[in-house]
Amino acid sequence: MTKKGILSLALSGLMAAALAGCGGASGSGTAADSTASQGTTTGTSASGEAVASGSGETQTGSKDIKISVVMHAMNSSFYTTLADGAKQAGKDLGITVDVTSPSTASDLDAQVNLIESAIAAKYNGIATVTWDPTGFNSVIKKAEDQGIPVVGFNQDAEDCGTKAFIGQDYEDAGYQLGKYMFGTVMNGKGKYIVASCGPTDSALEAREAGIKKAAEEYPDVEYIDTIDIGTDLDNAYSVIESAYLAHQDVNAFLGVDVFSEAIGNFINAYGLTGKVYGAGFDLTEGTLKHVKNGDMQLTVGQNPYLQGYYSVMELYMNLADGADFIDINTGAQMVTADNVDSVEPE
Amino acid sequence: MKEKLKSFRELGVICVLIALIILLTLARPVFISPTNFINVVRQTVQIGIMAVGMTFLIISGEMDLSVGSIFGTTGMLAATLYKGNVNPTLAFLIAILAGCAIGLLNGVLVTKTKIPAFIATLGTMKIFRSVAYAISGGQSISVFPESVTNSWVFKMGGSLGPIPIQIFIMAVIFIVAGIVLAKTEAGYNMYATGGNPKAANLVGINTDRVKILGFIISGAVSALAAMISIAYLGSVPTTAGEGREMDVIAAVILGGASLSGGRGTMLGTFIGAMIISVVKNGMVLLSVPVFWQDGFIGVVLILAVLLDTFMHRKDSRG
Repeated sequence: MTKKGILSLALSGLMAAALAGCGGASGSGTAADSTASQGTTTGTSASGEAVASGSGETQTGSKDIKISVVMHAMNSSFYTTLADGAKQAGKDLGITVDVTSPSTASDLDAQVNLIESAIAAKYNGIATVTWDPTGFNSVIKKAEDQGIPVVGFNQDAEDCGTKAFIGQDYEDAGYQLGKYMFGTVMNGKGKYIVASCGPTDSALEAREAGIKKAAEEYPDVEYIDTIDIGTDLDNAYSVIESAYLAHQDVNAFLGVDVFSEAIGNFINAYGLTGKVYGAGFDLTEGTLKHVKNGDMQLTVGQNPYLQGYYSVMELYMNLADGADFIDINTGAQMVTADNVDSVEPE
Repeated sequence: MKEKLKSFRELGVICVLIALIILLTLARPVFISPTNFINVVRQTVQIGIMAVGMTFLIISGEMDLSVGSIFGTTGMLAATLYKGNVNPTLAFLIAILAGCAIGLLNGVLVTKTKIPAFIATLGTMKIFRSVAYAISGGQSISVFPESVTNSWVFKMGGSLGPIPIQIFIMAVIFIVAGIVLAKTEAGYNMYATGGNPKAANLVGINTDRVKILGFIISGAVSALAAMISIAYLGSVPTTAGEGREMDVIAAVILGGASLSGGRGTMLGTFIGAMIISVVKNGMVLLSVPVFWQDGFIGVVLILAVLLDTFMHRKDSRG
């Protein structure tokens, strides 16, 4: 055999081995092709309220159910916790749950492509994060036309066609953060800066709106600016540092996302503990450490594990038992120095 | 026949694509289903169209890192104009012209100020991402007036029967670009400019003009890809196109083009773009764990280029 022939053979063999290996990882030899019996949706409503009336039919072979979880990013422990919850639900239910994500965070085209591929692969249900106001509408409709229900978790655009939303009430969570910081920590006076990792993100804007709503209740609390800290902790630190140097009279940095951890990093590094206050969202190990050390006074959890878990659970219950879809508010878990020791990182 | 096959430059990369298609079909028969295969080709459209411009540039010995930002900026510009009830055709043309203008800026920076393309376009990539943020005010732009959604600019996102119209657009662009590259003086000049710029200058080719033309085409097709994306998705997030440049460059390199210039074809680039889409789609069908998906594309990229290099080295030895 010629060298070219050997190389071609080796290449094909390597790919075959890789593909076979990958196929084996899913734990199911063939795609489930069963048609799920689905509830008839009648619209969405406020969290906690049932939004569909199920047909009551039961699908046979429910262990063959395959659910695709299409994330919008996987570049932080928060997102991997969402995915972990979804995967654990799959294990607990004995069904196949495959998680995928675009390689660039919040790449609308790539995420829509992944959902289309999941539809073509005949997954029985899809859970995804619909962070764009209308960009997911057509692909969700496409899934619905194929009889594949789609639920939204973590973030959900209004009227995008998802059967249910499992996540936090963002504005209310922002409001609660604001109330605690302006009232309890700052005693009703001081200046604050909002630190956001994503100016395009409607969920983060809702949290910021909640913070500002709380500020309206305190006449001596003054908003300075909103800074874009990006999705890289080093970059976030630098942006917060620059904002502090520009506004040294600031009393608090209030984060609205998982990258709030950088606020604690900065306050700690500059020795501003007790002089400048910090608060933010999500329960990363770093943020919890800052709350424990007093560099930050509050972080608000939203239980990403449950968001991932219940997304799969809802799809399973609908596909297997025809159960109704329901919006679930996973809440605003207020973590301060008083209770931080009892909280596990996410 | 054997000699003819040997001179067929895209042979290696076509072998890789066919091998992938066969293996994926064996592993998951649904891969070759009409619905999925149409999906795969549609998912090639944006990278493919943008890669047409990049192929011209890379053959001319340059590259453009700003294509993702041009995609984002022109997309935002068009979406803003659509939203403001500007005539959709006019808005479309303004966005394409804006893409050409950014390309012209890139070309002038590289050829007249002698800043290496990698640095110049890295700079404009950052600048025009900021412009996209500034135009949008940090918000996605969506929900367009009916005058726009009923116009031909949005029809680009529709289908003719089961085939998305954007696939036909991509096909026309590749065919025209392939003819320009292989059969016209402009194409010859690009190969000459990238292969040996000094010799090209000596025979009277204005290499600066050739490169500037390459950058302008790259800007124009990136803008066109953005217009198609808006028509298909009905929304433009500020992050639109972010990181796209790497997939585009990878498609061109996979297709057998040389980063040092003078080598590459449109057919090769199309196959390269298809390989990227096939691998991305295949990873979903095969349930490849999410953290390994990028790595898998990296492996295919390296193997395909290795195979291509090996075959050409062997050919050049006779």
